Amino acid sequence: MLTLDVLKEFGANVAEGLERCMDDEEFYLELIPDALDESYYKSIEEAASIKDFKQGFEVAHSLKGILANLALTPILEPVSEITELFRAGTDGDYSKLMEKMWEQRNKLKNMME
Amino acid sequence: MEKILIVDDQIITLKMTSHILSAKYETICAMSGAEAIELYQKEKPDMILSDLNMPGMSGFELQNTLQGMYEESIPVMFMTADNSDDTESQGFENGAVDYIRKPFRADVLLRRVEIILDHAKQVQGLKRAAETDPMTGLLNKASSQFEIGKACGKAHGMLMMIDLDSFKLVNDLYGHAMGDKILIRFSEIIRSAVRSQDIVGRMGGDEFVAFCQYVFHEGVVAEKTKYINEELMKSAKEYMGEDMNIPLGASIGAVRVPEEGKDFLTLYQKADKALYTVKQNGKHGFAIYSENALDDETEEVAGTGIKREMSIFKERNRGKGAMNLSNDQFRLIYRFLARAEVNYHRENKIALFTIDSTKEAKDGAEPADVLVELICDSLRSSDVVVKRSKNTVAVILLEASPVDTNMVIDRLITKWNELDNGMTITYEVEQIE
Repeated sequence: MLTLDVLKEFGANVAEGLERCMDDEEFYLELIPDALDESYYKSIEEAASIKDFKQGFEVAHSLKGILANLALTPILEPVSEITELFRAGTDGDYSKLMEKMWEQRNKLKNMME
Repeated sequence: MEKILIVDDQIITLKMTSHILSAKYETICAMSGAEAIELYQKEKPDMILSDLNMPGMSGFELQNTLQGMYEESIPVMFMTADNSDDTESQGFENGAVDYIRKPFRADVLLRRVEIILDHAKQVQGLKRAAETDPMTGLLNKASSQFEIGKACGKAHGMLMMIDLDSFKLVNDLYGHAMGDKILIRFSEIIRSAVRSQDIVGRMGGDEFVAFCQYVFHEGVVAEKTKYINEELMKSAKEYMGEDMNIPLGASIGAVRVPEEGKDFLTLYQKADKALYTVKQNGKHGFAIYSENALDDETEEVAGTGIKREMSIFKERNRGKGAMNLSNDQFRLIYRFLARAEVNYHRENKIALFTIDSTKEAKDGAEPADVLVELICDSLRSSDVVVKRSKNTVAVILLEASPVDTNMVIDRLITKWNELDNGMTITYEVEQIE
């Protein structure tokens, strides 16, 4: 079950996230599962594999905004890096960043269950 | 409560932003530029808070599109996760009032929105003050020209110049405070005679202008003229007393748009010509400008010099019998004859008839109205009559010897008595000097 303590344990900046939700705990917790929607992460991964940096940037940028708003720092860090690489059109090795992104996303997903 | 349109393609950001702002404001949410344009039209929000990077239409494009569509300054604040200074600079050049970087703190967002809305309110207040006639609250001359000019350029309808007849007498006889009261009431009556979406302004003094969309028929203008005149007279009697005998009223010169033009100046000049026709034909009425009427007018005043001037001065639609004038017109004639008397010693007389009765005449008319009608029918076209109050009537008899005067008055009294209305009249006669 998702609680503030779970999020704190995960490494989220709960105080910041809550402030952005006007300290409405229920509202904040309700939004978290949406940020873990698998389709974002798959789209980013696919964009990197086919080198569609423009499309990749759109999705990564969007996810970065969500994660930042909810203060999910451990996932935000790799997604931010990926976003900047996509913005610059960097044709490099994204595997480590992808791995980290998935790892953190899955970690929280598991903690919630 | 102020209304804020929030635009973001990201549902979570949209939800969070709306959650923050809904504590103090009414929020409307759109997930794309296209949806935002639709909602703006319907909701007319006080400000827009838009994400900058959205697929399909960016925040900049949304702002440009709306400003192009509505030709008004719309307060827009952009939200962006972008750290680029160039983006920020482009936004300000575009007319953004502020920026906020995502993720933002709730208290910071609320404070910045509050500042923007306060500023917008101040600008609106100043704009309203600059556009409004302070006495009547209607649009002032410059704004009337601008707003009506803009509307006439793209809409169909009727432009009306509305003039308050005999207003000067109110100021002269009852003072300027009463004059102001009448002007304010007159503007309220005009406002109530048109629909809320019609544009009404004060051009200056006792002259007003209104543009009514989708009004084409003479009957509608006639109804409005009747309504304005009736309401004005009711209010005037309420303010100045039942004995008030100033012939207050409204004259309306109207012109059809776009048949007679699309620009304000052309239409205004044509409405003014129509108004002139009303003024020439007894006031308190209306006329709609038409090219044919203009031709007649042109023919009448054709020529140059004195003939043209005489044509302009000459009385139109002259009826039989004495001239029934307003108090100010009567006073002018009296003064002229008194001046002439100094040099020419003519037998010009003034008679004052007083009706001794508290009764009302038939059909709710005042006794003096009945006597005026009787005098108009009985006297010569060179004689002049005016209703002074509900019981008194004054008459100027031109070139009337004592014998003629007695004969005329005997005839009037006989005719009055034949009415058998139970009211008696007394009179006094004096030489005009």
